[in-house]
Amino acid sequence: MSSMDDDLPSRSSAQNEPLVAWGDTAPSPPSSEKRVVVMSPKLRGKKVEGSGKANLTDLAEQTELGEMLLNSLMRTQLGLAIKILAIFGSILGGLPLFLIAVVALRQIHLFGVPLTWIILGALIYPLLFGLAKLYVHLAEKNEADFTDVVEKF
Amino acid sequence: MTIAIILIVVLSTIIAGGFGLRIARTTSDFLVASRSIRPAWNASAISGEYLSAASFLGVAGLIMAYGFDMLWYPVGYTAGYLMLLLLVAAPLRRCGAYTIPDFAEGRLDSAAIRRIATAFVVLIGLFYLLPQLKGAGITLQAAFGTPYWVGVVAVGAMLTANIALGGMKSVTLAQAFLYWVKLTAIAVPAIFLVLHLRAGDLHRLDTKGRPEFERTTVVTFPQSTSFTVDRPTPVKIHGTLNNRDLNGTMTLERGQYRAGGGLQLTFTKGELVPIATGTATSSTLAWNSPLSSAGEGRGHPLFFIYSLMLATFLGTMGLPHILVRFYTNPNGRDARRTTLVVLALIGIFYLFPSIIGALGRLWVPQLYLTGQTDAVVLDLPGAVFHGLLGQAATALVAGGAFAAFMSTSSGLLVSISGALSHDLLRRTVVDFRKAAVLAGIVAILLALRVYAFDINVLVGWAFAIAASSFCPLLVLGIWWRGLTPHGAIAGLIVGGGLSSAAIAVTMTGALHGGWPAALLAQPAAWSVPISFVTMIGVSLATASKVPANVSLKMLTMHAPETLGLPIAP
Repeated sequence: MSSMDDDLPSRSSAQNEPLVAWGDTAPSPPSSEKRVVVMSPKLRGKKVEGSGKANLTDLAEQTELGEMLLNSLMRTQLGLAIKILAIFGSILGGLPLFLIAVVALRQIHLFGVPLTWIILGALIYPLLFGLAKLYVHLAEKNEADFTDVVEKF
Repeated sequence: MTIAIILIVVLSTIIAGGFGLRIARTTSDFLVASRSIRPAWNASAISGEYLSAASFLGVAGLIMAYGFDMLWYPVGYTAGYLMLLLLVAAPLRRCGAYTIPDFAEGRLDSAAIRRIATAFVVLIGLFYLLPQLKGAGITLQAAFGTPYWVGVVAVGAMLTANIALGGMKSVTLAQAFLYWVKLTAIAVPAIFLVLHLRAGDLHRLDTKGRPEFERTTVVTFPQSTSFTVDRPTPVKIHGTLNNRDLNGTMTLERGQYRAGGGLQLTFTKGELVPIATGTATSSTLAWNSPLSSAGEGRGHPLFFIYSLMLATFLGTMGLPHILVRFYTNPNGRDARRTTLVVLALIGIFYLFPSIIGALGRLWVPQLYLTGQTDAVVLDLPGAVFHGLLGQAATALVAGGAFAAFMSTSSGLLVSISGALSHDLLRRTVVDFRKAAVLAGIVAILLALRVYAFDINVLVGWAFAIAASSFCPLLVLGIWWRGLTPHGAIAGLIVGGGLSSAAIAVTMTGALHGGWPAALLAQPAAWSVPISFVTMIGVSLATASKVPANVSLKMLTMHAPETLGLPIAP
């Protein structure tokens, strides 16, 4: 049994029971069998009538449709992370070269401080924050879209 | 006044610890402070824990010593949180694992990888703990003139007792408070110093050839130091120089000197400041310019900067004490929002150390002679301001330094003790306390031996090992179904092992200059890719060992909270 289970009070509460016992080292059933999924009563009882039930259950029970949905979500989120990483990488990766290549930066002063120092010592922080904020916004949007797809199917 | 401020910092930590002790009832409370902590608070606590002696003392010290290129350290320490946000924050929280060994075991269904991950938690944790205790040693040295070991032992013992008695609840309350202590303690003196600038001061920093004494200055060497004199310099001398006891007036001719501990030299205004051998950049042009071969990777500054970037960008997510704190977010979405706030809090903090480091070159150049640029934050306010203002500023920075090494050391000690008690002992509160005492003692003994290493160099190495071991494990574990236990184990051992070995070789001081020295001194540029390639390669070769329920694990990590699927605890 995993080391963490006995320490977590919330484990005992059925409301919070996870889909998968994370950290559980018990052998998993062979993949050919239909998997027995630990589902919480909360999920089992969700949206018995009306739309959405099929997809939520698909996701939880790992049917082919569920796999597809999950894969598309992961691809979207990873794609977003890679896009932001690419912007970040090209700015920070290029910065050391930019700072030596553009000699003028060292000669321009703001309040007596060379522009090079202002860029690397101060301006870069709002830039990092801006990228992070953009990512959080877009990642949450992706997740909202995904939820819509699952529920409106 | 210094003592008073330090006492306030220490007491508030301990009182918070006592408060925590009363509410900490279960092992879970001890280890992760349950999950009753709100995002804004949690972000303060994460920042409070992250901003260590390396950030509070070390960054300014490095910038004073080597100049412009060292600005990459704080940029890297901050950008590490962007990487953490993009690649691991939300999925890691959703999976409900609260330490990296838990994540490794849960994701890969392997007890073997858990043990290896635990070993790396202890290794990285200790590596990061040593410079914190060094910070304690030099802070007490600067504030009260006690020998180095007194600070290490006193602060180490106090921390160990606090963790063993209070667990992490105490730390969470204290950490959030300590972020604001640190920010105040560095921002207020920095702002006063900027207001103290007169027309032309910055211009001299920009153009002057070498640092000069601005006024008649008495320099006392706290310990034996080698230094170089470039032009004949008249001094008043009292103490041991080149193994001879001297007293009176003399002229130091060009050449190498060895100052004994306690030596006092008095320089007159306008003389060039001799520089302790190999500890700083003498030419102001080089100090002020990008890629001026100023970094520790002397001769290969571009390699040094890119390798440092990789280590700091990717190492943050692998620091054992940071991930534990993400578990205290209620869900993945909050984990992301918390990270965003952390990025802002840390970014604001890092505006100030560089100001102090740069002004240190102007106003306390004697630190170049004694080789103690790590103490610039502690010494500069007192050297510039006199009377009550000077005393208040000195007390403030000493209190901030205390907050810095106490908070980070607490978090590290909790992580190390948690890992040890979980995996080697029986996971009870008593075992957690035993592990804390054991780890504390080991850290104190090792810290007594690292006086010679720059704080940030030690910290940079902890980042490099984390980036070469845990970063690939986390990134591939979260985003790639194909990761196998065999691949992960191979990657951890090869990447973590090679980077640790490179650092061990560098610490022996066996290599001087050239590419081999540069490659080993900052190994991340090659050890991180090797670790990734090994993990991917061995996983592909052992594809049959992919855990059977990997899709379910992926679902747990990536399904948004808005779906209403059950949340991992």
